[in-house]
Amino acid sequence: MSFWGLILKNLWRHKIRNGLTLLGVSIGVATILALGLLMNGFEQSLGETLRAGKTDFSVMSADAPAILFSAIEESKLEEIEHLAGVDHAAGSLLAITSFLNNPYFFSIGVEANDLDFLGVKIVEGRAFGPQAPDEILLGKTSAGNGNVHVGDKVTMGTKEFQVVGIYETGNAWEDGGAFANLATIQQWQHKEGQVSLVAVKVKDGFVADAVASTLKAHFAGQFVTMHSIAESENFLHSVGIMQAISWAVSILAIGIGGIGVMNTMTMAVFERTREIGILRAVGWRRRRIISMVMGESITIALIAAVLGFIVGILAVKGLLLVPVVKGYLTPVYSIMLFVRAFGIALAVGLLGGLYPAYRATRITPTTALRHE
Amino acid sequence: MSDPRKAEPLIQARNLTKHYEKGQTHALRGVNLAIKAGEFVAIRGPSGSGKSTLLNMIAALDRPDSGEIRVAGQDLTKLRDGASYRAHVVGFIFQLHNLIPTLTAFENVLVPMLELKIKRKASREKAETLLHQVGLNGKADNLPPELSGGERQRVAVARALANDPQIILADEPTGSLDTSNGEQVIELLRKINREHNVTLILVTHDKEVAGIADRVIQIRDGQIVSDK
Ligand SMILES: Nc1ncnc2c1ncn2[C@@H]1O[C@H](COP(=O)(O)OP(=O)(O)OP(=O)(O)O)[C@@H](O)[C@H]1O
Ligand SMILES: [Mg+2]
Repeated sequence: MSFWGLILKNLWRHKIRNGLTLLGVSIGVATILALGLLMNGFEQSLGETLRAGKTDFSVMSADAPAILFSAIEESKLEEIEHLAGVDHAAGSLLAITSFLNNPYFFSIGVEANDLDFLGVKIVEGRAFGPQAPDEILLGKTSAGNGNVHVGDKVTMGTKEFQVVGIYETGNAWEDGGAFANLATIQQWQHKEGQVSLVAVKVKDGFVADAVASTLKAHFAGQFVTMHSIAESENFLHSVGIMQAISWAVSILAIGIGGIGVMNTMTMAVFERTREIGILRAVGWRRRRIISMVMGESITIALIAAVLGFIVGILAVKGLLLVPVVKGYLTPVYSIMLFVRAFGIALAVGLLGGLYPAYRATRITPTTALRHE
Repeated sequence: MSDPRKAEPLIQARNLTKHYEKGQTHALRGVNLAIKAGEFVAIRGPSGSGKSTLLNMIAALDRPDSGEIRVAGQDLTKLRDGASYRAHVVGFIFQLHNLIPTLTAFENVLVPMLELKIKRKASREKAETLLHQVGLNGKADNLPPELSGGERQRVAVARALANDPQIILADEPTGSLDTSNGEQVIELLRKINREHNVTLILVTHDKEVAGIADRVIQIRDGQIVSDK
């Protein structure tokens, strides 16, 4: 038996009590992990939307509170394309409709010859024709969810479309939506001559940042450009809220988990008063008593972390089986997330162990030995 | 006084006093005592006379209110935590519930060695030897509830020897045992005292047990009333 063995033995003595505490902590860890996985995915998808295909940056109207409300006159496209350093500019109009029991279905109107430029890869069928107002491409996820195949007819809002192909961009939001001719979406949404975003590619030898500055200066503050997710205030705002929520949940988990561990371990220390007295009498220093109690509480927390990882991953996988969620939320695994969840569990163990360890050092052998 | 002369006894107490409950109970009132290395000393006296209190002082489990106690050249009143002293100098045996109930006899003997940075293999061998020495080699894997009272006390003896102590302090080690089991344990302690030259201080109510000792100290109301 080693010191470590003794710690495990002590934990095993109250397996039900410690098991329940462990379960509580692991639910906290699982929640933190699941939230983080989904948030990572959300950040990444949004980022990809803004950095579509081969584009260097996107342009949206400065006064729009969100991408969806951005409105740019289509006529500006040509003006943008003529700016120094701009290779190509592609407009896209975003529309939200109800489709396949999803009330927030994304349809994107683009010119047929911009599909490749925007990173839309046809995996089945063909692209819509430049002059085909009734043809539509469905994202891989939306086609799968709605069990729609190439050749089928679908109704979106009041309009009927013919599905001519299935595409994939790798972006969860786009793959859960549809692409059609820009003119079709403009007409349908009564937004003739208007686009939401302009994706810009700069010529070789030009720096994207410099071209974007030229563009902004040229249009005198009418437009903002987004190079990366970090530049979207709106996006930063939503991410900020989510991060705040995730921190609040983490702090809650530390608090609840820590108190749970503290409660269990304090009870264990009181019950073992005499034993601790014996250990002190045979020469154990206070330091070793502290190590024993802290070791027990940290062990609970670390086992809970491992269990929490498993539960968290399974919970996210389970969530993705729900049709409405499927395709819109893609968990993105990162080492940092696991490190953070593990760190939080460790903090729970440390905090939860402090008080009982302190109590254990206050046990004097003489009184403990009078204790039956 | 602090220079360790050749003749300095292993244990030296001067004017030890101790009271509890804000001065109501005088557990010790001026105890003077010198014990030489290798002695077998029995301490006797009525209940509440201060025997355990004195033993606890020698173990640095408790501190005197006043007076001085030196053991093996160390001033025990100056120790911040007596644990290290106990880990190296003393082996302690109580009357009851000596053992950690969830650990086997073998593991109980290992417990003091966890504090001593002894190699795993060496400590296991040592625990085996000690259990053999107290005649319990067949019961190494038994938990305390699976042992008889006498066997449990013999495990406690083995554990007290795990750190090769200079002194064994035993507070009524046979108090909960029947005569024959009690005799066995006392004989074992006596043998250890003789063969390993370990100083043995034993608190007992039993006249016969006291009869085996080299020296019997009588305590009454916190004072030594006879020392022969
Ligand atoms: N921690 C304590 N708090 C209060 N009083 C104590 C404490 N320890 C000992 N005493 C008191 O000090 C006196 C001496 O106690 P001690 O335990 O030394 O007696 P003892 O001779 O060992 O008795 P016994 O033979 O019953 O074990 C008793 O009156 C006891 O009640
Ligand atoms: Mg006593």
